[in-house]
This record gives sequence, structure tokens and C-alpha cells, in this order.
Amino acid sequence: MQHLKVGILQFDQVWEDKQANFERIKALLAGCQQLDLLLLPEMFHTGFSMQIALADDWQNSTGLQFLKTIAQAYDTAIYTSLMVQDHASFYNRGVFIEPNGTVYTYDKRKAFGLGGEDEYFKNGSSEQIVTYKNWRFNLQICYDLRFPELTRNRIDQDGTVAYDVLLNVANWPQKRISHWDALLKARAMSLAVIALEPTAMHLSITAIARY
Amino acid sequence: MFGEHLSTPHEQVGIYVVELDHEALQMGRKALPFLKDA
Repeated sequence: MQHLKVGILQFDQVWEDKQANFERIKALLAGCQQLDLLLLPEMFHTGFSMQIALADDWQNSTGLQFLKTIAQAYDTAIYTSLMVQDHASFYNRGVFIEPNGTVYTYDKRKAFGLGGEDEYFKNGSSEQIVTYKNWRFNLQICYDLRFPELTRNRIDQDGTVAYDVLLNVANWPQKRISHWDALLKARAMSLAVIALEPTAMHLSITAIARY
Repeated sequence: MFGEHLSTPHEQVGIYVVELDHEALQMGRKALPFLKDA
């Protein structure tokens, strides 16, 4: 199986300004080496906002279209999340996008009640494991990291391990960084996976733990 | 690699690239095959 080159884009998100965030991402990507997978922080084009008026209509999402364009232009898969309205409900929706435009979604299953996220966004209900270039990725978003039952790894009936990499995009606060570090290492070790966890640079650090 | 933990610099803008090695991951799983007991 091939090695996988993953780029973690760490940037200072512009609060609730989608166009400014598009421009910052494009500027940072200019001249970037060839990647297999690019990771952006949670709610990549707004920051971790509860302003649901900013949510993209899922059927006509400018954020998703931007990501598809970047994925195709740089020939790389992308994982991040964005706020969307899908029919009558709002979601913090993870999107894994292949260069050919194929999109896999994961709705955050644990809204961050302490910050009021649960008042605006509906929880997702199912796991999403994506296979890309023969690697298997379990998609997660931020607060999900605190709930180990969501990430349980196992050996499936065909004898293979259910997944190889835990991808958790976040906006994790600096004041709880010790929790982040401990949980990240614990997940990597207890699940026998590689944990990749990009977060916004002004709030926390990005860390990588390998089993 | 085995049990390695990496962090990017705090508050520094950029793209940080890491290369994932599936063979090393598999070696780790063989050395500690606890998933079969899950």
C-alpha cells in the first residue's frame, strides 16, 4: 500500500467571512507540493460560529463548490466541515471530497452543548468510514473526540481492521489543550490507528499521533 | 514512528505535511495485536 502524503493547513480563520477565508486558503495553497489529502479546520469558511444564517444551502453550497474546485485543481482529496442547511435542519457537516468530485459526508454526532451548538445544529446519527487510496478513514468532528464509543475500532468479518486513520477536524480551545493532547494520544494507541487532528491555529495546536 | 507524537507550531500559519506509512502501522498492530480481543 502506498504512503500517503497529508497536508494540514493551519491558518487564522477570518470570523464569519467566507470570501476572506477562501482567499486565505488559496494564498496558502499556492506553490504547495503534491498532496494526497488536505485537511482544513472545522467550519472552514466561517469559524466555529452559531450564526446559522451563514449556513450554506446544501443543494447549492458555495463552500462545497470551492472545495471541489481546490480538490480538482490540486489533485488532492480534502476533509473539513462546514455549516449547512439540509431541508429544514442545520448540520455541522464533514465533507470528504475526492479530486474527481465524489463527496462523502459525516454529520457531527456530538454537538458542543457548552457552546450552545446543540440549540442550532442537529446531531448526525451514523459513522462514516471512507476508503481512499486503500486507506480507511473514520471521519470525526471536534467534540466527538471526547466520546470513545464513537470511534471504536474492530476487526471486521473479513479479517481486516475497520479503519486506519482517525480524522478529526476541530476548533479546540487553547485552555483545554491538555485534554486534546491526552485524548489524541489515547485514541491513537487504544484504537491502533493514526490520529490526524487539524484545528484552527489561533485556538489550539495541530497534533499527530501515530500508533 | 512507533508511538510517535508530532505537533505543528502553535500560531504559525502554513501547510504542514506528514507522510503516513501503512507498513509501519501494520507492524505496530502485529506487535500489539489487541484489536482481536476487542
